[in-house]
Amino acid sequence: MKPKAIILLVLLAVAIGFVMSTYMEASESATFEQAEANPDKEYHITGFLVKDKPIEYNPLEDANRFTFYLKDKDGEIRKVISTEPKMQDFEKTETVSMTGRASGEDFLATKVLPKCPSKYKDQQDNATAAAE
Amino acid sequence: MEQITYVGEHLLIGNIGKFSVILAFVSAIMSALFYVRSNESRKKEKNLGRFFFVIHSIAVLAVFLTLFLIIQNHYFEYAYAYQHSSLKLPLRYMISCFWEGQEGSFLLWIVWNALLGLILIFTAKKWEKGVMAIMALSQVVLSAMLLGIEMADIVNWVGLHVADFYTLGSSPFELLRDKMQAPIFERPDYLKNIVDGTGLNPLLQNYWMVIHPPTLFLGFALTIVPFAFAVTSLFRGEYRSWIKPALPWALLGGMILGAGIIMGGFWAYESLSFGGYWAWDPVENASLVPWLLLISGIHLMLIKKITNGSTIASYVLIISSFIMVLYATFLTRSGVLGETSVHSFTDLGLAGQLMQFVVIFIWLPIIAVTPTKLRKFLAVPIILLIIALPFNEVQSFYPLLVFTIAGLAWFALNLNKKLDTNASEDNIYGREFWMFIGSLILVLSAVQVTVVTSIPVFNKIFNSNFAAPTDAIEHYNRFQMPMAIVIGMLMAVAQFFRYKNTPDKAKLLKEILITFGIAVALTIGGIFLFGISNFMLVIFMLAGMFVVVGNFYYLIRYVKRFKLSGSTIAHIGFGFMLLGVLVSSAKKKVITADFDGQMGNFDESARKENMLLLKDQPTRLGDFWVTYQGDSVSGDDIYFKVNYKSFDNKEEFTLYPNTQIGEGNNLMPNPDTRHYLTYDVYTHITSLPIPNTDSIDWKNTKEFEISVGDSIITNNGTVYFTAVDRTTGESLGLKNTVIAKAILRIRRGNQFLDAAPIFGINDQTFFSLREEVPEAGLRFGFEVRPQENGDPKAMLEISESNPQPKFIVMKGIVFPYINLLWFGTILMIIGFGIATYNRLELRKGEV
Repeated sequence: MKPKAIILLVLLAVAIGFVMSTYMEASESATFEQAEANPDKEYHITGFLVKDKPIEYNPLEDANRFTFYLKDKDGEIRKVISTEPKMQDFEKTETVSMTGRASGEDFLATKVLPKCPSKYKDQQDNATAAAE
Repeated sequence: MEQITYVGEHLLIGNIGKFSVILAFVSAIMSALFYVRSNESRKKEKNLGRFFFVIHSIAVLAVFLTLFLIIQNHYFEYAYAYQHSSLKLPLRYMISCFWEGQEGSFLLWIVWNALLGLILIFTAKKWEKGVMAIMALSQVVLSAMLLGIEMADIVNWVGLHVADFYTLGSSPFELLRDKMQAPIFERPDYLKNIVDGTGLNPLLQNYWMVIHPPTLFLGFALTIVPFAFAVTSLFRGEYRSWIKPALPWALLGGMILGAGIIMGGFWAYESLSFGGYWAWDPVENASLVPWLLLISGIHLMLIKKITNGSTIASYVLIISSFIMVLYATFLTRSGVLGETSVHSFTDLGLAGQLMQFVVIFIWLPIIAVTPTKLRKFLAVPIILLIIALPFNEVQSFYPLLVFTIAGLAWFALNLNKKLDTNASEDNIYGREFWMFIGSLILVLSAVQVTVVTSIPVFNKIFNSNFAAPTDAIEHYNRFQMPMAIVIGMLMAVAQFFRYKNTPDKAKLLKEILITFGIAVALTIGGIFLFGISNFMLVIFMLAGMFVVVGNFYYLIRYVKRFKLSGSTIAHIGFGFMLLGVLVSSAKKKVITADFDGQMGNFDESARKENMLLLKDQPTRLGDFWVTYQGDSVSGDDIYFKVNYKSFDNKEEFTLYPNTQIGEGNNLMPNPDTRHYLTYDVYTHITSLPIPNTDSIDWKNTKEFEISVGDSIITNNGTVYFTAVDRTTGESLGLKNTVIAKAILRIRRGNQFLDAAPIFGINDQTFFSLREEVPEAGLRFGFEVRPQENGDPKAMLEISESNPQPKFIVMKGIVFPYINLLWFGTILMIIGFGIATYNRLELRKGEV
């Protein structure tokens, strides 16, 4: 066999390995229950912000502690503790996408991504508001 | 429905724009058709093809100018001007409004393509027919994105009656009243109420955003040129001669696209607040992948040109680099990425058309290798499916997907059969062998990025629900680093091999060993200088050093003429980039990180990277005393004055990170960075106190009789009564009034604050103006009471409340040696420039 052919095969195998490992690693959007069953593993959870529970961030006490409540796709509600400061318009958010792991009753989020209503929608609202 | 006559609209300019789009679309079709029909004996068709391309270019220019005039003149009746600009936007950012919206960025691409087409008419010579037909075809597809024609209108006109149908393209000349439904548009004079546009996204109001998109889009546009040459050569059955005219274009594309990508990185570093220059965001990845493939393709083209090997590989790579540009366009603009990207465009409902764009250009090379007789049978079903795509995405997508995969297999088999396979035997002493492997690893790197970035696409196709990697940066780095190391090693040694075979093997070994030895020595030095101990990172540094040393040695020893130095200089640049990436990210230090770990239940890995800075209270961060000294407002921006002073007092500087309070009180922070030769200090605001709008609840009100020089201790600090300032009431706009100001100084810890409550008196009455100092939680009232015997008494009233200190929450990062990265980038771009120039010289005198 030619050396080039061998290398081609090896690289092809690596490429297939990439695809496999990516999809093995890529976890499906989880629930709090799943995260609590395995507290050592990081999970990706998307859920609804619970608006009638407190959203707290008091930088004077701790600039790295921000808490809110999230309802996952099964309807379970947990307190989320994040180390990122609160995004300024967080209260307006409908859904939140986050990664982190369960710790006792709470969920420790390392990354919180609020999904804001889009700019376009805001503009429409503004136009409607201006008209009224 | 009653027709309303609107007042004050400028409809003519929009109609000129819309007409120009249609003209551009139609003339591109005509140009493509005539070019396809032309051949050596049919000069007339070729001339008509040229003629229509020139008409097309003029129409494109007209579209560009009308849209610019609409933005420039603030015609807010047009949705594009309303949504992307505002009255107070500085002139230099007017041009950025263009590319904030999808339509404008398509337009930019069209403009570049038209320009490239015009150049190709003059320079492509015998390749003109095929190359220009492809250029014109791409212009047809691109201008269709701007048409904004309701297909329902056309279908109804034919006689079928359909209520809701898809719109072909999205016009930048759409009127606001057509785009949005609101009662306001029932008034003929609605324009009087639309005073200003909603403005440009503050993050785009940056000088890099003026030049980054045009550069990137020129890079994207340039990838079509080598593609067009390659596909034309497949149609013509000439598998080698296309390389020579296509190579300078490919190199120019590599240079411009590379520059565009890194400008985007620099913009992110200067004005985004994720704290870095590269976040492996899908939008970044989408532009990186075509570049990796183009670079790989360039190396394979060189192999093909010099040794006649790697024919299939060079075709596949040059073709796929353009296809990946189209795929990237689909990814970032169809809305398929959803929430996985921070900066993708709003969905304009163009997904179907964007898919068409990709599929058409995938099928072009497949058709090219199909025997002429079979072409018709293959082309008809494909074209039908492609046309059906936007109408019925789901039903036509899956057959098309299966069909296309089969087509690609067919392409590979056919191409293999057509080619003479008597290429030289692989020789591991030939330079092309190592270049080939390096190119394949670049492909591998591109594959990895594509696979992960495409997770949302796979989810859509297979209806699955995979989540993107939780920590994208960590994930990509883990995969990409080993590949970068191998590529670096190959780049360092490959130049010492000769093409086909290296006769003097002992000398080869010696040269590799010498340069490797120097690289090892430098790496050991680097380990101590930068303090890097991780094994993988040491290897990474060695690869970077090896690239620099190996190519530097080659440059001095073998490159005798400046114009041949391009590749070597580009490779040295890449080596410096590796080193810059390594040191700046491995040794990056978040100086605001919370070291005392006061958050008990958090583990070590949880990030605590934000620091609260109270106004005027120096805080120790890294090697600096950092003080928040105040803020100032300029337009929509609030600038925060953050003073840095190094422990040894040698360095002192002030950074002004700002935030713009955008729509809905969005905090849109812009970092500020102090650049030094060997490190950067980067700072951005992550949170601010929420302004208290409620009235403050004042308690503990007490009165004190005081005289100048007295001090009073309160719960919230010590108050010093320093002086009384007597003036007339003129300053308050009061006549015949005498006022007395109590000049107070408040001391809270290290902080000093001032207050001056006022007491006023005139012939009828007297009054007292209290002063609130919410920062200290104190309120003062001042009164002078006359006494029957003796001097009047000065009375100070003090009330207390909870202090509301001024503060910022910020993140500060020190990036060491980041200049190595920028320096390497510039060197690499210069290298590309020299190589392009050299290849252009070699083309001179060609027919």
